[in-house]
Amino acid sequence: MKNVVIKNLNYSYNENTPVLKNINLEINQGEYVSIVGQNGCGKSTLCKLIIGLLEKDSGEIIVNGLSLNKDSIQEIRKKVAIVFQNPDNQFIGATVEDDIAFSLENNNIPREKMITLVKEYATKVGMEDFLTKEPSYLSGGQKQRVAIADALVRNPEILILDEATSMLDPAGKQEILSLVNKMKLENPNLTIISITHDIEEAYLGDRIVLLNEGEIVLTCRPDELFKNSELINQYNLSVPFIVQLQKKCQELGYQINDEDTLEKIGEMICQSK
Amino acid sequence: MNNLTFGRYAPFNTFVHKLDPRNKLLMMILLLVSIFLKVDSWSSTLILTAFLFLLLIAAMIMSRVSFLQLFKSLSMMWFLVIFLLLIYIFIPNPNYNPEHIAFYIGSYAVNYDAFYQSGYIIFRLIMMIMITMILTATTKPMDLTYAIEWYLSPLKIFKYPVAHILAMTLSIALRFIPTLLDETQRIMKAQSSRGVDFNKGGIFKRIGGLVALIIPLFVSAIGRSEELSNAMEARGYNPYAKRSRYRILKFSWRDLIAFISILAIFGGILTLKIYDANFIKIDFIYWIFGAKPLF
Ligand SMILES: Nc1ncnc2c1ncn2[C@@H]1O[C@H](COP(=O)(O)OP(=O)(O)O)[C@@H](O)[C@H]1O
Ligand SMILES: [Mg+2]
Repeated sequence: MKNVVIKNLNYSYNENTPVLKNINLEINQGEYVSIVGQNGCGKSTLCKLIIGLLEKDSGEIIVNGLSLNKDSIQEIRKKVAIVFQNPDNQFIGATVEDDIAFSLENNNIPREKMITLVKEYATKVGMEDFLTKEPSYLSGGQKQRVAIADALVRNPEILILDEATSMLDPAGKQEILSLVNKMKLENPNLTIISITHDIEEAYLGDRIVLLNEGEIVLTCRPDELFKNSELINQYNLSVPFIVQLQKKCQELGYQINDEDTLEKIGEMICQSK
Repeated sequence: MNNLTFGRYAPFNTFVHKLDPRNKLLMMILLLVSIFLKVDSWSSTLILTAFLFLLLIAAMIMSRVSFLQLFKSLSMMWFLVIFLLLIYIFIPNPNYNPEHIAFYIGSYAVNYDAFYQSGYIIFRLIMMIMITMILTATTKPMDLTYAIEWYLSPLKIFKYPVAHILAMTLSIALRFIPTLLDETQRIMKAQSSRGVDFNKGGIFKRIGGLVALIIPLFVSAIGRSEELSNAMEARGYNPYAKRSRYRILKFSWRDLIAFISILAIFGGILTLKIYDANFIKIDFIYWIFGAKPLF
């Protein structure tokens, strides 16, 4: 089933500088799509259009079979959750529990159910010991974990991560990536749209959409993109470490396949000596 | 930033902490009014004030408010003390008892009543500070906003969620105070590293430093507010829609006890005031000093 369908979408903040040009994209239910592209190419703008924070100039956005317009916007927002980049600016409640509850209050969930859901989702993201803590006592990674709980507690069909790890330190980034992985395993039907700067992160997806100056220039499997050095040079992308390693090892004469993991390559190198 | 610790919430679990914030707000107002009710004769006023003061000390001990913090905030009041003394001494007041002369400055008679009057005002201010400290140290800011929202809830009749929007605005402001303080410090460090000195130089240089702080702070705050409103909207926030509540306020037996006690005290003072009951009429100053000039 198609979860998100975008047809001939155009958008501009100022009339003479189009930010998104004729975007066409289809995303299936349960798919994990990474959107990559340089700073300012319109990735965040695309997200904001999908959840109706911005109003499109022309084209059509269909989420879960519902065409996005003024009447359907609240219905669509119940199905789509988004985690933004800055951990501080999306923490609305006074404490972790209040923040998770905020999403539920908006959906008019009865209080008894709220109390169990808050506990359940705080536990899911590993924040159950911090329920009464205020955001100033939390690390960036912990705040983003709460933001993911805020998003998932509403039981969305689509989760958008708009550079959710870009302001975190490496440990925080790992926390979030493994959490997303876990959520994906628990709920294979969850569609994930992950916007990222980080090539390693994009590599985790089923499909990569490459955006350049407001246009989709390529959609393909992650490994296809990173084997194509011409494209990489053209769009100034950096190659994930694993692909660099595979390439280097192949050059050195090891029998390495594209599917081999870091552990396997390490083992192979160790055994060969 | 350290003097901002005044009125911080102190996470203990005392009787006062457990009270309903709506009740605490109401009791605070009753106590404030009690303090500012003046009974006619000075001796009665003095006794009532001493009674209220002891009551507040007891409340402070009970709610484990730090006396150190009280002294710290009082130490900033010396300027006010001098100012009030000067005003009461040098502005002639027909209500002063001409027999209560303390000493002469040249040929100007300084009246004991001037000290009494200014002392009384300072004392009331100290008690006001004590009351607010007890309230803010035992009540989370968020609970106070819920209480304010509850008191404003009759405004619902205007079909516009005034109370809710006000409370939401207030709670977001409270939530962002620490964030913006962090930001202020970051900007100060960044500007210092570019050569701005916030502590030295003449008035113009200092104002220049302040501008270098305030403008980036505003730019960042406005950026934050935009992202914040996006995040709220994306999570389905709609102030006009029906929303359920996670936090509920409970009026318990504790509240009943506390409220009835405070109400009784307030009622007592009010009765004294209305019936002009000058239950004690001793001229304290005459009694203590014999009202002769000291020098
Ligand atoms: N609120 C705005 N008003 C005007 N222009 C904007 C606004 N937000 C973004 N832009 C412009 O739109 C373009 C795309 O921005 P954005 O979608 O945030 O890029 P990305 O997320 O890919 O870095 C940029 O050139 C940016 O300058
Ligand atoms: Mg962006």
